[in-house]
Amino acid sequence: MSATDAHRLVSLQSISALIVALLLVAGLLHSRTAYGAQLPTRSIELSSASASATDSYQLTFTLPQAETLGSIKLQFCAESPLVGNPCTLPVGMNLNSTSLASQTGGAGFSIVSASGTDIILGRAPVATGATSLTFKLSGIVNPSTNGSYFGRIQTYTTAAGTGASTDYGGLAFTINTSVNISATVPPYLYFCVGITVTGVNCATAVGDYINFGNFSPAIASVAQTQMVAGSNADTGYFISVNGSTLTSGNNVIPELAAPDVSRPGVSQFGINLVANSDPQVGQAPAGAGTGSAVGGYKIANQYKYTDGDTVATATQPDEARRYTTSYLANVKKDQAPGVYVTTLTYVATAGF
Amino acid sequence: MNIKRNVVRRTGSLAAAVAVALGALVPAITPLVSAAAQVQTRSIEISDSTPGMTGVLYKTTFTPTTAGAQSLIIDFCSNSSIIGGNCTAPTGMNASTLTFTAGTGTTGWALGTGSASQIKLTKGTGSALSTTAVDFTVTGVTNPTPTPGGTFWARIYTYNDISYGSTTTVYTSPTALGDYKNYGGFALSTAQLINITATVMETLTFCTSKTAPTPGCTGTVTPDLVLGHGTPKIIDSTVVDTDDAYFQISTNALTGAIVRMKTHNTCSGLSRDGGVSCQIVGLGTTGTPVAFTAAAAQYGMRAEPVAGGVGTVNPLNDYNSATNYGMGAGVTSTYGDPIANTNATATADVNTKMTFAAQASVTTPAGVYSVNESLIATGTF
Repeated sequence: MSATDAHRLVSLQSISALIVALLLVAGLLHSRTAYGAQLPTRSIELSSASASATDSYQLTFTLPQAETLGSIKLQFCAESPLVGNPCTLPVGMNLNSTSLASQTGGAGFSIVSASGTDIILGRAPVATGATSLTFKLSGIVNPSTNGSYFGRIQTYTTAAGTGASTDYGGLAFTINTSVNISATVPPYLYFCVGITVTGVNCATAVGDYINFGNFSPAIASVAQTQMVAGSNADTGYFISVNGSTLTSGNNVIPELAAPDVSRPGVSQFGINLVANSDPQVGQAPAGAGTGSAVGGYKIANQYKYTDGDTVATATQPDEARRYTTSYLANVKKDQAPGVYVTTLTYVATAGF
Repeated sequence: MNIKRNVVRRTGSLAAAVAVALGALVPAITPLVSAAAQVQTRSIEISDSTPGMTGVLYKTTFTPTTAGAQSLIIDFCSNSSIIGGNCTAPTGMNASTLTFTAGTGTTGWALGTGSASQIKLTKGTGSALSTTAVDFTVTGVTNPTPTPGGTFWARIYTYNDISYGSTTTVYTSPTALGDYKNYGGFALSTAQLINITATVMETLTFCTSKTAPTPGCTGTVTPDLVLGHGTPKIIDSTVVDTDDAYFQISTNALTGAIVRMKTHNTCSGLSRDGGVSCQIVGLGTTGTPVAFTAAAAQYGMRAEPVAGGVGTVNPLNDYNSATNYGMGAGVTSTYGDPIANTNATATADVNTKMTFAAQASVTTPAGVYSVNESLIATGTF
């Protein structure tokens, strides 16, 4: 049967069945220039995330396979980490003063160029294994606004970042607001005086009156008081004593202008802030602080008094210190009779 | 006769119309031989249409029009599907080394001796085909390598003996088909791979705030903290004073991200001289958070996860506590002290609360003490 007489039977259904699963639309849904393999284990670590700070950036990545490595380009972009896409340097960022502070995993790299969006590290091309590389880049000025920013890494076989790249990778980093913390320590001066103070607790200070009793030219008359001082003043504090010697009308028991021992039968008035054995009176300064008696008031068994003298000091911030003031009074045989009194005022002054 | 002619004419018209409609699709038009019938519902399904691909599966399905087929031949041609017409073997195709897998109706069938562009099957221990749908699969075909978009054809013929018509008229070539009983044409095509690329870019979103940020690092408040008690706030030796700040992190980094804290002072504590010295010292590095010493001038921080977001943030080392504090010496290092990580996974909108604490001693000099803590997030992609 000739072809002209032949029935041409075409089965739509069978043709459709033929087409199904056989014809594939040939075409590319997306076309992307190849940039090689992606660099694994890549990161960029900043030494500061503050806007506009001059920073160190530590770049780390691993070569996916052994290859000839001549140069590395690190590009900073505001838009995205996608190599080949438009790239604008983040506002405020500046790479012009970048220096290579250190390199590990590779050797011989130096800054080929650092300007605009790109830093290029280069060296004479060398066959390099699939190894981790780290570069510390100093002198980079951070973007001036908080937010997320991106880096793009490309490796090259050439020495200056020219030609086709071998491998690539994207990075992301952020600039954000530092946490600002403040705290105020107020100035303080802790001071009290009493006949007795327990420990260094001013709440326990009691008494403000000393009665020597009857003076005798045969023996010394002694008494003591206590005071506590402490301060966070930068230069510490000093304690002064203010007031006249023992006086009865026009009669006085002379103060000891210079330190002297107790001399019964000689009219003398003096104090010190140490422990004494002759006569037995007083205690050494006590407490966690380091303050101490000063000058003529720190000599055991010698006594002194001058109105306005500094009797104790601490030269730096000091914890509470308890000072025991020993009072000495001797009279001569012909000391004029009378009631001899004085009022002594202790003043603590802190230097902030 | 008239009816027959009319039928022929109508059929011819119908066929012509259909042929025109389908000519744009697949030119699989076959001449009708009065002794043979076209198989129905036929298809050859291939597992990979890549030109030149090896190891491809070809699954043939058809419904015989007449029963009794005991062998069949499939010829592959690059020029046409016209039964009996010239057949050019598709370039690069190789069907000479195949594995046969029986399907419906072809159990017991076996491969015959084909060629690079021909498959032969015979019923072997199986049964002759009926008029119900049958299928079989051969594995190991090498696709043709035409130019992209290349169509090629297959022609199937069945025989009612096991030797391709040898008992009557044997098949000898695509143009001398012998005594075939059923036939059919197929159109196949290799095609370029469909390259699908979808790019997910590296992301890292990180922020600090006085209050917990809302998702996407929105709703942040400048993290200015003032430690102390009373009015105005002061710190002293009687109590540890605290204040809170937060950070939020989102990243798709492959192995997550680390958050480090770096002080702007040269020392790890609080300073009143611009960071030159710290009279309120950092708690130090012990590996575990510690409690404040009573009446001691100290400064520390602790971090606690906040529920919400996707993923987790783990406070690290000296900072991982709900009650005690730390302040590692590493805060003065170039890149700061690690305080938390995302557990080596990606995260989204995960908040962490940081509690900063300080106490003065009785000898802490008077003044305003401060520090700027920079939090730095680093993702490893």
